[in-house]
Formats: sequence, C-alpha cells, structure tokens
Amino acid sequence: MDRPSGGDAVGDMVRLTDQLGAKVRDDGDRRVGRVIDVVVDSGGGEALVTASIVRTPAGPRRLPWDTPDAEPQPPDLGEGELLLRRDVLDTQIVDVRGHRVARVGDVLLTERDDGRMLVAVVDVGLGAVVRRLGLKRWSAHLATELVPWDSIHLTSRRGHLVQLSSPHAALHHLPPDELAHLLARLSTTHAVDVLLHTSGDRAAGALAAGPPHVGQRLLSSMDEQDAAVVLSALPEEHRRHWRHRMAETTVPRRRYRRHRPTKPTTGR
Amino acid sequence: MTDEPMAAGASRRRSWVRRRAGVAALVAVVGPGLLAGLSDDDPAGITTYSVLGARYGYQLLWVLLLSTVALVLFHDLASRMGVVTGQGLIGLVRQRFGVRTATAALAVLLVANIGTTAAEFAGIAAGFELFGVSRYLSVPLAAIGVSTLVLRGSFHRVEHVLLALGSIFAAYILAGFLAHPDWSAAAKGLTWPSMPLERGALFIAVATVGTTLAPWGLSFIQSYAVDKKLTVADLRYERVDVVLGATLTGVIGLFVVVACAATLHASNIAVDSAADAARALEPLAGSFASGLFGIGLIGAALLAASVLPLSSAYSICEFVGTDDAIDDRFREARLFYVAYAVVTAMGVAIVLVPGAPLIAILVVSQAINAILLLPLLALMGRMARDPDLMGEHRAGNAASAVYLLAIGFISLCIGTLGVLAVTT
Repeated sequence: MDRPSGGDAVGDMVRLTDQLGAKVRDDGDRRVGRVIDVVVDSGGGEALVTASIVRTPAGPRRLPWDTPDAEPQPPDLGEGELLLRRDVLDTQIVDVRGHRVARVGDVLLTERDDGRMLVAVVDVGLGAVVRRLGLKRWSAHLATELVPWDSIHLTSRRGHLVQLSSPHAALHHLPPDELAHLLARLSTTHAVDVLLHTSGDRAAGALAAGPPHVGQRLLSSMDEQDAAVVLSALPEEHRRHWRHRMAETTVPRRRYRRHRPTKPTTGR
Repeated sequence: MTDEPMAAGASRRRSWVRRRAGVAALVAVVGPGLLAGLSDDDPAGITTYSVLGARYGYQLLWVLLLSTVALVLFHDLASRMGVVTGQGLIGLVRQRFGVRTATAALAVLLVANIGTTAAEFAGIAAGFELFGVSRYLSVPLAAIGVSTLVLRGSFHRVEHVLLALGSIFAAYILAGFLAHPDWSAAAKGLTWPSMPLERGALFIAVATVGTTLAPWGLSFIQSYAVDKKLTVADLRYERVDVVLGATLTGVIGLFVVVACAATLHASNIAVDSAADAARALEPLAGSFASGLFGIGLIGAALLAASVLPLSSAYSICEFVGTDDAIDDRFREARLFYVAYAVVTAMGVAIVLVPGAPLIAILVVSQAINAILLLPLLALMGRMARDPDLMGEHRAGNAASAVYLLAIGFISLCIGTLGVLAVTT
C-alpha cells in the first residue's frame, strides 16, 4: 500500500483521512484499488486495526492490514468490528469523561510496541475540519482537540451497538454521575439501550444521580418489566418517588423495541 | 348482574382510557410538524398565494394541493430520519456524505436563511405599515421580542407561544369567508388540473411549489424532532403532527387564494404583494377583511422570523456536532445563542439599511432556496434508503419510488423556473 509519509502525522500518530484514498498494489505492482475504509476490532478494549476495505473493479474487498498482498476477501465485518470511516469519522460522539458532545473530524492511529496499529484518539477540533477542506495553512492556526478512544461513546448505529456489546467499552465502567450525564446527552432510544445493557444497581444509581425529567422520560420509554427491574434496584424511598412520578405522567408507556445485538455485516 | 354487561363496561372503560392516553401522547408529541408547516405560510408564501388567486382565480388551486402532498411526504421523511438517527439534517449529511458536502450544504442554507429571514422582517414591516407603524419601530421590537421568547423561554413555553401565534392564521380563513367565494369553482380548481398556456401562469405555479416546500423547513422539522427527544414509538403520533401541519398550511393557502380570487380577480385588480392584497381587499370585502389579512401577515412573519434563525442555529450546531438545544442556558450553548442572534441581526439589518436592494435580496434568497431544495431532497432520498443509518426504518422500494416521483415533479418545476428566469 502507498502509505502517506509522516509529514501529515500528529506526533507519531497517523491520520485516518490520510489513509483514505491511498493506492493499493499487489506483488506484481499492479494496482488493486484505493482504500475506502479501515476496519478495527474493538471487542477487546483497544481498537486494533485489522484490515482495510479497498474499492476494486470487482467491488469493495477486504485486505488484511499487516499483509495487504493477501488475496482480497469479501468486505464482511466480524462481531466487534467497526468501519472507521462509516461508523466513526464525522459521526457524533459523547465524550463521557469530558462531559460534552462533539463530531469526529479525524481519527488518529498509533503503533503499539508489537507493531500493530490501533486507534489512540479522535480529533474533534475545528482544525481537522478545515484541514479536510483543503485549507491546511489555516488549520495549523486552529486548535486540535483530542479525545481518547476509551472515553467516547459512538452514536452511529453500528458503533453504538458494538459498544453496548463490548464489556470493555467506556459506558460499562462509568460511575453513576458520569453514566447519568451520558444518558442525558443521548437520544431517548440510545439512552434506553444503555440502561437495558446496564445492571439494575448501576442503572438505578444513574437515574438517582441525573435530572428527574431525564429519568422520567427514559422510564416511560421502557416496557413495564424492564422499568420494574430498574426500579426494584432503587432504595425504597427513591423507588416510591419514581413510582409516584411515573403515576403522575399523562403520557402512556411507549412501546419500545430493543436493538438487536450486533452480528456480522457487510462493509461498503 | 351478569358477567356480560360488566365485561362490556370494563371494555368501554379500557377503550376510553386508551383513547385518553392516545390523545395525551399526541399532545406531547405535536410541535415539529405544526411549526414547520405553518412557518411555510410566511410572507413570501402569502404573497405567492395572493398573486395566484388575484391573477388566475380558482384555476390553479390544484398546484397548491400537489405542493401540500409533497410537503407531507418530505416533512414526514425528515421527522422520521431525525427520530430514528437522533440527528438533524446537516449533521446526518456530514456523517453520511462527509465534510465537503456538508460544508457546501450548510453554507448555501445559511445564505438562503439570512435572505429569507430578511424577507420575514420585511413582511413584519409591511404588515405594521398597514396600521401606520414605522418599520424602524416595528422591526427591531419584533426581533427583540422573538429572540427573547426563543432564547429565554423554556422549550414548552416557546412551543406553546409559537403555536398560539400560528392560530393568527385563522384570520385568513375568516377573510376567505368574508370574501364570499364561489365554492363550486374553488372545488373544480382544486380537483381539475388546468393551466392557461402563458408564461406568467407557469411562473406562479412553480413559485407556489417552491414557497410551500422550503429547505429551512426540512432542516427545522428534523432538528426539532431531535431536540424534542422523540422515540420510534412516537412516530405514529409525529405522522399525525406532520399531516396536520401540512394540511393546515394547504388550507390556509387555499383561503388566501379564494379570498383574492373572489375579490381581486373578479374585479380585475392586479397585486404584487400580500400587503398590496390587504389594501386592495378593503373596498371589496370591507375594512374588517382587509385588517384580518394584515394581522395574518404580521403573525405569519413573526412565526417564520422565530423559526428561521432557530433552523440556522440548529444546523450550525449539528455540523460542529454539539447538541445545543433551546432549553440550554447561554454558557451551555454559546454557539446556538450566537448563531441565532447573528442570523436575526443580519435579517434586521438588511431590512433597515436605507437604500438596501430589498427586492433583489428577496428574489435571490428565494432562488437559492429553490436551487438548494433539489440536492437536499436527493440527499434525503439516499439517506432514507441507507440501512446503516435507518436500520429497519429505511425506505422500501415503493416509498423510494414515491420520493423519486415527487423529486422529479419538483425538478420539472424548478427547471422550468430556471429556463423562464434565463429567457425573460
């Protein structure tokens, strides 16, 4: 693969947007295609780069990252795998520790001691956007805002589902006040997903720590059994309070359809 | 007592409880569709409908009906995309098509929105001048009023006040009845498509489509559905909201057309604006009808002048990725507040600068709206089919065919307008 030089890197890190569009050639120096996406496996905590998706005359194909000369495979994704361009770049994220919502302007990759590439941080600064618009001189004057990979919750469809399924994802390790913050910033559908993938104790703690109107909105959006599990984990006094609030609401309990767990899908 | 009457009584009670709960859920959800729909009846819209009625009577009412159908289709799609993805239109364009496409869409949208905001404040100026109030008093006061309402009020209060403002549109319905229209001719014009073979008729038909379905309305309804944190389970209520909003828009437009058709067209009086129409109505339908027309114009302009900067502020925040919302305080949502204030201030400045080429600005902003509408609808059509974004709620083949048909119809209208603009 014709990898870009380190001139576009941030420190030792490499920008995803510099990798996209890179030409890929086979052993005989014949052109295979161009990189259109990068696959990472985030199931084990770190987001390790496993393959690239290359646009070839026969359609998109998957090439192993470390051995790009291997036979191209169909662009299927395994459980826990994400496409960095489709599922991360330009998507909205919640910075669970920085308590803010932002959009990813670039993804920065770094090399581990064993030589494997992994996602280190995402850049949510305006500089990354300006740089991608071709205004590199201007972007140098704008701040780079980096958020560590283990501090983000993805809101893209697959990103959200993969993080729900991964026990290493940030959302499964947040203290109640930070989990409450995440629930308040997510859409109702995503927030209920998070509650349903959280133990009753932690869910109850997050509801108690967050604004009452958020808890009321989320509990109203769950089916009765799921809401009862969360309520049963609350201390008696809190449980009575929430039951009272729920009884007061004039809006009927909404039918909520759970998201299905992630399964292998086809990349683009 | 036997079991049967008891069971019937219990069934009736359950049915009543379900109905009551359904109405409560609908009341909680309504807003995005009604506000986005009613805002489309802005001064530019009322002017177009007035000219349509004054020049061509009831004959072109079918164009309004088709425009209303397109409005229902695309407002429904926009609100569904917002609810399913949890993101506004510009944010979703950036996620799906990248930063360049999104930057271009945002830049054009903002230019069009600032021009259209100026058009709304020009409508406020014209409406108050009908009652002898100077624009140098009415426009700044209106700007301060709507900004304070939107930026300082709570989400629910803002929504209720804006919807109450929308009720001013009833003035047009009353004005329509006072004009004693020929309802059988109106029914024929609505259901029997025909058009005089002349350039002016084609031009006003195209303008009717363009003014009814606006890019800022599409971006607003999607952002507002996201801000309201609606869920997939709310979609059936949201659809009622969208159909209600679009239908009311069409009905109000219909009454403006019939009021002008019954009076100005019958007396062969030509008008160029909604304010002209209000003045011209006085000797024909009485000062009450004329006054109602003027009040309707002010209400329409105030509602749209509140919604347009809101649509712009949402779009900027979505592009950057922040989740700033109406309920946030200034320190939590600086970008949202600043964007709202800047768009409002620029709209006001354009109207108040002496010698500003107001007509040119209005025409250019309407043209940009028309040009932006097509690529925006095409992007929406592609995103609606995308399983990565919409999952199980993606548009199927039948729905996609309907969107394509509607986009084709609008392309034809806008293309014709472009040809007319170049050749005349």
